[in-house]
Amino acid sequence: MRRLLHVAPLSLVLAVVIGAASIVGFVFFKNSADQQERTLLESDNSQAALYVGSVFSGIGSILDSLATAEVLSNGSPAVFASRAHALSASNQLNLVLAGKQGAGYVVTSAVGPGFTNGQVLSPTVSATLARAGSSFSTLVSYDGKKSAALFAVGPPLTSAGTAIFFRFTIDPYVKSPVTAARPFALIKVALYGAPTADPGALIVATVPKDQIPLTGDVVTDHATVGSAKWTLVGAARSSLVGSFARQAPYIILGLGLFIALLVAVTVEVLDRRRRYASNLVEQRTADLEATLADLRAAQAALVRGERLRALGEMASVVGHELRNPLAAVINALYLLRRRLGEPAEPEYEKHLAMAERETSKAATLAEDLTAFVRPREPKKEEVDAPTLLREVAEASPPPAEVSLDVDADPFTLVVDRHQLAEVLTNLVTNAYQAVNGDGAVRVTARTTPSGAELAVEDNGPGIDAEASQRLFEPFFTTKHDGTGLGLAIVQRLVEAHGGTVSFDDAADRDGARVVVRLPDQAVRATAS
Amino acid sequence: MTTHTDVLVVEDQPDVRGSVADILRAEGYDVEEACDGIEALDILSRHQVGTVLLDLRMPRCDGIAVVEALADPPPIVIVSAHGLADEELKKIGSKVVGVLRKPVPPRQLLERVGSLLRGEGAC
Repeated sequence: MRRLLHVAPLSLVLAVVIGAASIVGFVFFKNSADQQERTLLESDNSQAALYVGSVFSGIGSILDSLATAEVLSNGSPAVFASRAHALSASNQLNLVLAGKQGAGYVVTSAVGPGFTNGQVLSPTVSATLARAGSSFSTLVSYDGKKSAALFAVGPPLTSAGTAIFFRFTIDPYVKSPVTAARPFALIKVALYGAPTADPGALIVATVPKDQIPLTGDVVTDHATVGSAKWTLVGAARSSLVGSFARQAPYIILGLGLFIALLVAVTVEVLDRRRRYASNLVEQRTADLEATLADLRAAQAALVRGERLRALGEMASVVGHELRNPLAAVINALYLLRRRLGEPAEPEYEKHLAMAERETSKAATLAEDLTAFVRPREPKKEEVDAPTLLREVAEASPPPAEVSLDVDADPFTLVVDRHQLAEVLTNLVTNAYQAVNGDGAVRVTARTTPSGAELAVEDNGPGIDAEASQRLFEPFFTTKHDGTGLGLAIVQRLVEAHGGTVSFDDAADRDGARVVVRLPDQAVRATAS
Repeated sequence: MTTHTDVLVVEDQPDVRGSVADILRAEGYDVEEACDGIEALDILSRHQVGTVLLDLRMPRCDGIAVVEALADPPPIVIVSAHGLADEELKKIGSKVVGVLRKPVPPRQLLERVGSLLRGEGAC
């Protein structure tokens, strides 16, 4: 699991870098598109405002011509009515001539519905008329259903104390062909007959009622209508910069993140392959090294085996060939001794004793050589461990001043009784010699999880590290009169039982400890 | 016509054979010597022998063949530089009373011969 979660730093860095770059790109292009969008919207809205201004300036020329007629006819209501009828194409329009009476204005002549001669005009209309001059003043009101727009001119275009106004009422949400043309096809607008977007002054909107007031990204511009300042609020119908320019930042972001992921995954996969390959190489190298080590060990074992075999052959020949001459010499010495007496005359005794001693050593060597060489298949039988140890102790009692302690767990061995006794006798005898006539020797037998352990330890001077390495080599000895075959024979006998014998060099103990480890098969199962 | 002999020493090595015979004679035994199996069988056919000290490896006819050739042998002690191999022991084990490994200490040899001649048999 931990291995799966382990991600190469390189792929992570690449993913972060490319991801960050795509986010930066996204922000940059998004901002730029937004800015462009706003610029286009402002431009379109300002065009629309100009358009509105120019549309309503036409009303100014109508009022101009009526004012001229009024002045020339000295304010004749009949002339005004006749002219106004000619100009009014529809009955929905009002063209009204009014005169000032007191604080307000009274209708003098009127065309269109809602106004009659002598009608006193409302204070708001009167105030608008009072403000009117050569540049027309306006009054716009929206009652929620209809909006009414009033445009008025007054002196000096008209006679003093008179004013002429034009008024129309429309449903602001009625669709008009105008909205299909540029710029209204691109933007939606709401026109207010006031300096601010006053809902009560709405004249026209190019969207349904529920979308007013416009929300979101809106721009506000002003149109000059006569002496008034009207407000035009605009918003884009759809992206002005085009759908691609709008989507480009998202495409960049998406593509960037995708590439980041792709690169990261690719790098990760490659890195994992590389790691896998390198692990494989390491493992193979380790295997190879292990194999080489095994081979070397096998070769060493083979060489050792070859050496031992050659040594064995030589020992066999020497062992046997020594026996006949030794027999002859020993017999001759016996005959001499018989003749010369014991002790013989000092002159002969010295030489005779020396010859006897040395032939005895040579005979021991011949015995050891033969024992070392002779292949001896263990004749296994059940042997009680404490009994075996006791027998060995009785057969090889310690010299004076040396104590022997035997301590065996009660268990049964399945071994060659004579061979095991030979092994223990050899080790115990070595220990006696090691303590050099004064010390303690201890023999133990224990069962272990893997079999049994027989140990012989002493409190002598111990064995130095170099000697301990060669302890079991044939002909290696630390004694001045040893043949160097005792432990080699011990090793052979133990190995014939499937066991091992080793020198245990624990640093915390004086003396030497030799341990014979026997396998499980050499121990009778306690249950049986 | 058979004559009595205490010990027959069968050994191909003259020094060994001679010294063993001398040791036995020094103790007063009648000793016959044979240098190989053929000579041994010849002597055994002509003498009534008390005990035989028989070497194994000899030219012409070895110790095993000697034992095998004898239907009712006197007490035979094998004295050899080589031990008795398992299969050899199987062949002749029942017809020999002991196996000694050279070099045999003279005192041990004399004890063995003495007990055999006294009729104490195998041990």
